[in-house]
Amino acid sequence: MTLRNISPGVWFILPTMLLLAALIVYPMLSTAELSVTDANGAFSGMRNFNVAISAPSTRLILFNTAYYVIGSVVFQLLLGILAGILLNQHFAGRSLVRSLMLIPWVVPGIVAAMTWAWMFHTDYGIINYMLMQVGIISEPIGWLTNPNTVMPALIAVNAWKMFPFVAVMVLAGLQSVPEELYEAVRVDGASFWHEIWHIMLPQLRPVLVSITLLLTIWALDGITIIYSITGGGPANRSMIFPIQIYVQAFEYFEFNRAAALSVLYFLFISVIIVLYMRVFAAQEKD
Amino acid sequence: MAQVALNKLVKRYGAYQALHEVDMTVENGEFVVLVGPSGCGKSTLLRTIAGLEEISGGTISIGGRVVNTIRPKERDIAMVFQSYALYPHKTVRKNMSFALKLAGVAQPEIDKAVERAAAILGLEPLLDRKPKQLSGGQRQRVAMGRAIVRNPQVFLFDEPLSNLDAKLRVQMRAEIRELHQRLGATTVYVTHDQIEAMTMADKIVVMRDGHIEQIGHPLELYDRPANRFVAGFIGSPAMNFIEGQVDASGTDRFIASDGTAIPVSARLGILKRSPAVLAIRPEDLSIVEENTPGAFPGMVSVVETTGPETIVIANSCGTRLSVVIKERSRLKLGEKVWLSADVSKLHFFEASKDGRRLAA
Ligand SMILES: Nc1ncnc2c1ncn2[C@@H]1O[C@H](COP(=O)(O)OP(=O)(O)O)[C@@H](O)[C@H]1O
Ligand SMILES: [Mg+2]
Repeated sequence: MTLRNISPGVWFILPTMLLLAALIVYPMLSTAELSVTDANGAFSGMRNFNVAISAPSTRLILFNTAYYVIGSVVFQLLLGILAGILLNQHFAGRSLVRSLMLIPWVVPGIVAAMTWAWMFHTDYGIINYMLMQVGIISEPIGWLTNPNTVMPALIAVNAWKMFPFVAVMVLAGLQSVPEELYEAVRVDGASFWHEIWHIMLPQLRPVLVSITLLLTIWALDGITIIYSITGGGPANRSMIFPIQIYVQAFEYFEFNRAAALSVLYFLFISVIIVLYMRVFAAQEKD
Repeated sequence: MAQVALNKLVKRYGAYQALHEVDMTVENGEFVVLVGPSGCGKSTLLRTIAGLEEISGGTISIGGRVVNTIRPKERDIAMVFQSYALYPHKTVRKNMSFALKLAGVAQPEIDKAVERAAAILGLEPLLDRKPKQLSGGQRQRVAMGRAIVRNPQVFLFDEPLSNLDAKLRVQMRAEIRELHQRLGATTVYVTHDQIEAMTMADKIVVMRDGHIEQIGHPLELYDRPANRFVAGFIGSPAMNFIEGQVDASGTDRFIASDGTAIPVSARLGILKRSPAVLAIRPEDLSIVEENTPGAFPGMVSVVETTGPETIVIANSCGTRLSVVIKERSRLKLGEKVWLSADVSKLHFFEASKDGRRLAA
């Protein structure tokens, strides 16, 4: 094959492909290599994997990760759909509310995390202060130190942070619903609830399927909020997979074990995404 | 089934007034067609009857009950939309049964109603398809099916045929009429197509700019249009209008603005001297021999053949006149012809903006 009969398209994508190779393929291969070697670079087979899998914390971390991802995505979707539908109604001051709603999304993640950490603070946080003022609780709750409340609190922050994104997408989706459909359903005798259930949600389905995938991916690698608020504590109760990898690698300098965890996590995510595509993307077609 | 009565109905969108004190009655079982140019307020009127649009004044009653503030679902109406507005994710069966389901009708009854409507419209083989899998004509039919399963007091149609091709439109026109004969339901049908109005209506309501211009039986509107607008809107090719005035000298002639004289009936004495518009339908003009008494000259500018008839457009009387003739024509462009108007078929309108009909 001479240079001449290579399709010109190849030349166009070549720079991007090289860049991708350097930034994605090389690190992936290098991680795979690290995961099967020891600190001296000698081949160590499955040892790193065995250590990672048998570590007592691994099951907890896996559970936490699933808890965090499912909790975040569910509440992001619920809040976002609700906000999107409400902001699609006509009311005075609608554009102002629409703009204000975007704030959580545009605030940098680290700023949001630090602010929430203060709000959740056991002694000085405004949340405990307000709840005690109103009389809902009689003594401060250690939101971020109590093993039972730390994950819900973090999920709440993540839901707050991302729901505006869902709302914006839902709003855009709703605006492409033809007005006559609402009118038809109204003439047929539907209430607002019926309109949501029989018109809006079915029409939003394709949008929601894509958003759910995005939210899942973002939650799966969402380090910022948890790492900056709790760092995975107390006692690993809010530790999720990506943070564990980070801690292993850059706090304990166990690069080979971190690499093994990365490979496991990669497989875990791949399985989830393939299952997701199978179930939803396939349904989309009919 | 019920009568629909509108009384001084007003609809404003902010400062813009879309309907001006509309009065109109649709009798029990009547098929009324609202017709008018695009933007004249037909859909707005229909949607106020449906309750999809709040009204700014006047009253709407259905079956003797004032429904001004009553929600669509309690008005007992069904509507067929221009885009059909079928629920895209529901099968034909579910589309048709949805209203009954919401109304809490028992499943066996719903099934019976859907089967019956499907049989009337020939939809049985399509019941389990989704709207996406149907042709335009089939979707149209499902939209009608969705309306008739509910057995409502009033049917409302908003330009239901405008998305169909010409041939299907003619076929559906007949089908909708047939359906009406069969169900006998009070119907308000909106269209911008005057041929649809002429062929389908028991009664036509002609609208312009939010006003009703004339209400009447199709042939009444055709034979005695109340004003120049209705005259020009109903009929195809459109009515010819010639500006001028009735001759002052006592001979029974109308003098067009370019001086051409057209014989008229002697009873037009009252119109003498004031400017007026003479109107004549293309089929009431004919092409005659040069020396025919009362003939006036014109010059052929367009000849169109439809098969059964020929439309000749001639420059004459300071305007362009369409003439419909039954026979085929060998006329050439630029050829001089002689035209004659049927004296008994002339209409006269005021030269003013309203162009009201002058007694004649
Ligand atoms: N929601 C609305 N807001 C403002 N103006 C409207 C609205 N709906 C219709 N109109 C105006 O009212 C007039 C009549 O509209 P419509 O009833 O849809 O006309 P038609 O159906 O006869 O073509 C038009 O001039 C249109 O611009
Ligand atoms: Mg319209």
